[in-house]
Amino acid sequence: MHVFPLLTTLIFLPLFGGMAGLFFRRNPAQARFICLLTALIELVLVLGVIPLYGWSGPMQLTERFAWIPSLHVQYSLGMDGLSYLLVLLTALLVVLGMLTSWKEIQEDTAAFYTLLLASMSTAVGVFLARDLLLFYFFWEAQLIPMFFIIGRYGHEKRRYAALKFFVFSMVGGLPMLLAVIWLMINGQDISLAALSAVPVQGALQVYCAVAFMLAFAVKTPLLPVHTWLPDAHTQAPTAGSLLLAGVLLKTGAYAILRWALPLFPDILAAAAPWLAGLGLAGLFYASWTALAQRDAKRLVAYSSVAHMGLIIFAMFAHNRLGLSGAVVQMVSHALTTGALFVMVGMLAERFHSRELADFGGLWSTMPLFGGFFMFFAVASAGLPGLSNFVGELFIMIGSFKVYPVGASLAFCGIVVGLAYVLRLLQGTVLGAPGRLSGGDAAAAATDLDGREILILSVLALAVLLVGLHPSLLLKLVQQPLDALAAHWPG
Amino acid sequence: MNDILIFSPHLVLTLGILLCFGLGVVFKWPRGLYAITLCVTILAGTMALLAYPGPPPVNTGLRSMLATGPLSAYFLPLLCALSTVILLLFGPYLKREGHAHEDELYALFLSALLGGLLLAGGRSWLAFFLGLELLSLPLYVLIALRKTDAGGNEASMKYFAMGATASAVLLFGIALIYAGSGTLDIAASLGQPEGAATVLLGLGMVIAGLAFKLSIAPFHLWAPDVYRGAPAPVAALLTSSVKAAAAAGLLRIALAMSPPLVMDPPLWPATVPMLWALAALTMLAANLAALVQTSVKRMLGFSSAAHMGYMLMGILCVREAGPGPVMYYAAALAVMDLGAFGALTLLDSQKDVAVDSLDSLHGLGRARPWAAALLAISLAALAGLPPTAGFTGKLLLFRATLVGGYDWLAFIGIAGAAVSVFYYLRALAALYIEDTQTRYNAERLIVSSGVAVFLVMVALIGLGLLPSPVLHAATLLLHP
Repeated sequence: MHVFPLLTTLIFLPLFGGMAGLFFRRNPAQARFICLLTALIELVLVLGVIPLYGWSGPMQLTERFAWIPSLHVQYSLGMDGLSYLLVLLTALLVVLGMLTSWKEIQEDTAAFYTLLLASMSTAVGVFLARDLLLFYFFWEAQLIPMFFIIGRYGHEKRRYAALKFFVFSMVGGLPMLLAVIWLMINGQDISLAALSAVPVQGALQVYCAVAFMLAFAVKTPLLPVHTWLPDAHTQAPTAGSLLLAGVLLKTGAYAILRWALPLFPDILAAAAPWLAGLGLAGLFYASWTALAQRDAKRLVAYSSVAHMGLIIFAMFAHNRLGLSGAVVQMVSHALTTGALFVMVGMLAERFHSRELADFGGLWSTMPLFGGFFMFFAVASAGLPGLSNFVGELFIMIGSFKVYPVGASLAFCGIVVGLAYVLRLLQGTVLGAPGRLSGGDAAAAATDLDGREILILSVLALAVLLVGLHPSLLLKLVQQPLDALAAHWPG
Repeated sequence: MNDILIFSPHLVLTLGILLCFGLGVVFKWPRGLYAITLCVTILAGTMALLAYPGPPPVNTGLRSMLATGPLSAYFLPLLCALSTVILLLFGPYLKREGHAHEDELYALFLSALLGGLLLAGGRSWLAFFLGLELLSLPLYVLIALRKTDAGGNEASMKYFAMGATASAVLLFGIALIYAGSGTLDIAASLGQPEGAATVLLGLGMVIAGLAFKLSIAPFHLWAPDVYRGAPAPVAALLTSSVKAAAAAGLLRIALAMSPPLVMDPPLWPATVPMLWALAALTMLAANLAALVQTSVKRMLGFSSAAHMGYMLMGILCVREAGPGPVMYYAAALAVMDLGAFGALTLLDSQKDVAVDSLDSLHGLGRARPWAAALLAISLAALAGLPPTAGFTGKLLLFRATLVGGYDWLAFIGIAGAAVSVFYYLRALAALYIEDTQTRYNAERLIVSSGVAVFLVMVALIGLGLLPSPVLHAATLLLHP
């Protein structure tokens, strides 16, 4: 037990920093600076955990005290490798998201940065909560800042997208509230440890598992409850898309690993083929749909659904190697898809359009942009040496042992993925110049400035690091994933 | 001496009423009435905190009237606190309306509060009915506060016609209970098996009458009309302290019928299906009706009715889960509705925007940041989002329902809550997402409304994060 409540600080520092930023509403530059400083401090704190507590092994930081004693609800937080990885990712992406929005957001700036920080607080809370009700608390609270980020600062159909996002997630989450209450009544203790030690039995288990999976499937998103995502992604401001892809979707996948699988091992083992099949269906369907998109951002959004489908497929292949692959893929998807969203955002900022037809041949006028775009696009398609390749390789090898046919199909799905990535490249940096990227418009196009290069370089370095030296990451999550794999029936 | 202390909140309020009338009529000194009313309300609340819970009064006349147990100890200060916040919100509105110097207004407000205290703290059916009438009569007048406003007059007429009928039904029910049981003591009359059929018939009528006050379906259709017609502060009063007091009365009846220590209470099994049906019907009908409203006030009217359905779930399971959830939700809901209607008052306080339709909210998030934030937090709480009291309250109520074993009712409730998310969000979207071309004056918050806004926000978030004190008060009820 440590004296300094580090985990609580990690959760609430962004929120309070954001509130402090709000006081400088009248002076956007100051507010922005305070918020960025808060996010940087958070990042430094997260990075500082490693030297303090070691790189591998059961890095279990915990904090707990009774929160609502009469309901046996505890405020209990814990951090292991898996949580750490995702908190680190969150901290990094929020800093980058702030830098991305530096010029894009000109109205109500202070409120926007506060919302980004609030979003960070709730996400970190989701990753650290070790009590079911506390987890649900943060899980629902996540929706509020994102609703306003999309609704207040998004593009033309933002109201529709924000409402759709919120209603989907909330309606998906309400049955889970009943399930949480059921588990509360059933046992005295609803901490993660107690619940996974004694899995629920009987008919109750089926309902609870279904309710949990519904909530997590909406967030991840899994076919057929993914329809909010393309709208939300397309309409959100750039930083909103980055956080959605990098953080919010990850909370869904993380929750499956952290809560659903340990709590309902038997039911999910029985349903695994179906869920893996849904993941595969998502991969195919979304890849196919991505091919038909005209809006660059929508294309990247569908690629998100496809990647998450593959991750779900790997999770339910019940294989240790596949699990590692799923986690690597989660991180890698956050980095590459996030970067693609940022870059499409940069295009939109310059040309006020996201239509693929308007672009093409940008390589000649914006070589730096073209280079980075190429890098992230092929990384997203799984070029060896970059992060996605590692994840996909692990997933393939691991799941092939369990579902040979499924894994072969998944491989084909990844190939379709290559096709839409090529289409994206063709429509933007390669190919013939379009309406906005040829002639006079092209001359006006400015290449990346220092701030943008910094954002993309950080992401590119992270992609390279995971791609070339994945053992760092794998060591971090080895212990939690081993524990998870040990739980499986059969 | 002890009797005086027990009776002191009521006495303070009565003195306040006389003072208001006296100063207003005899001395023509209406200037300080607002301050006096505020002080009287706070003093009454303080006295209630000091005197309750206490030993029962010595005087037999008083002893049969007032309950001094934990239920009164919880609800009396709560009602005074709610009224204080309403008064703080009233301030700017009254200045604007030019009503600031009308004495009867304050006297009526205090009478309504006194009625609420009697209703929430009454031991006998007599006190119960007196309280209810004393609570209702001033409201008929207050709703028609704007003498020239047709909408307000219409609302007042509606409320009066319905309310008088409800009171009559309730009084007849009380008469039947008295006839069946031979006692006017609430607990004694409902806890004995003699004359059960007559008592049950009476009880049905009492619940129908109360259901009207609480806007429980099918007696809820007046609510949207009245809330829309009434001045916003009066609507706030109607939804918050009136409902909290009526909920306290209903909770007292439920506790009297099913004391936690008695094995099989005689009347309870017959009451359960009725409560179940009322809860289910209310949650479904009110939520669906709220979904199609375009006026914010009407939407809030239906929403407040829907929340009464959730509260009924708690009443239904009071045997299995204790009174804690209902007590918590009564406070939470009162604060939420108070926040919502108070915010509407404040949004309107510059008189440059008639806040009613969803379209009229456009762009106010930016023009009136504080009032809009209050409305947003209240709506989020009504929708049951963490970290507000609405979330914790829903959690407690659904937990109570499942503990009671009414799984289907919980499902119906969750479906209703899922529907409700949509219409609360629509209002939030109108407030913050839609922009408007209209130029509004800058927001000017006076001190009293600033304090009120702060208090409501703190209460909503604080209750949501730390429900334990309220739940602790509830355990005192069960294990004195």
